[in-house]
Amino acid sequence: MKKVYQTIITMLLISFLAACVHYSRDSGVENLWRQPQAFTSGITTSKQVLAALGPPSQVLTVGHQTVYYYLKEQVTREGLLLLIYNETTEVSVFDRAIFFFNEQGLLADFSYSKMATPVE
Amino acid sequence: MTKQAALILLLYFIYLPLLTSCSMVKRQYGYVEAIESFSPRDYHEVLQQIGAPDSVAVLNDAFIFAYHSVSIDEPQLGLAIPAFDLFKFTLGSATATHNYHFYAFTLHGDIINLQKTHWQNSLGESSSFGLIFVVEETVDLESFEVPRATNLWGQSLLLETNLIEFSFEDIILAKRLDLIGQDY
Repeated sequence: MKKVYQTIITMLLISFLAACVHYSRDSGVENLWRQPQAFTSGITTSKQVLAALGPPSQVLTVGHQTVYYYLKEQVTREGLLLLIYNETTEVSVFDRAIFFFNEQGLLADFSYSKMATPVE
Repeated sequence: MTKQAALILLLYFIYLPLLTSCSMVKRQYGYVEAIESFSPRDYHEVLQQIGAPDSVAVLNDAFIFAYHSVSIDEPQLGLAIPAFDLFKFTLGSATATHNYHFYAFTLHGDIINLQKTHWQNSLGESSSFGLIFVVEETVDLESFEVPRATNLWGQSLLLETNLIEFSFEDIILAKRLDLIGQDY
């Protein structure tokens, strides 16, 4: 009888075997704007932004203004597999920064994306 | 109850969970902060209040900021297949919840129009066949997994101008909005 109980307990444990999965990937530019930077509207130049953050993901022209747009995409997937119940969650974070420069190349305005959770 | 009957009953309760399984697949693309209604006068106030836009489009006499996030819930039910212990048949459906803000400005930066909207739509129902310890996708979500247009912008500048689908000017000037889950 003891063997039967051992077998049952073993099978019970196997049936509730759990596993976790996790992966992440990044694409786009490095989000250096999340590090301390000293950008000031009307003072900082486009050259200084380029030197601090590197080449932008996209360059646009809006009227007489030039726009530097930076984007980093971070995808994280986490999962818990219990066989009976499984749950996976994938979160894609689009971390962005945008800079508007006037015709003289001076910073007119800039902004970073608002994040649900702090990013690395 | 005999010992044999008790053993069968126990085995039945052990194997019962293996006959079916439930899965929940959640996806979140982007994030739009919930904000109280406000009336911006220009793009400076929008940047200050909501942050950098998810997509920028520049038209002949206006430019647009779009903020877009999508969350997808895909509940699944897995059914065991007799004689194929390691495989299961999975039924699933997916629903997307969108949060979308739209702001249009003159080329001088003054607000022209704004709109906020929130909606849900079904992405369909489907099924799959796979291993019991793998969470298979049952609904095709390929359109949500393409790289953002911004990250392909530099690459698109190298395209052969005679072969591209859209005009080169459209690519350089970003005349279209890149919304999550939609072809750019």
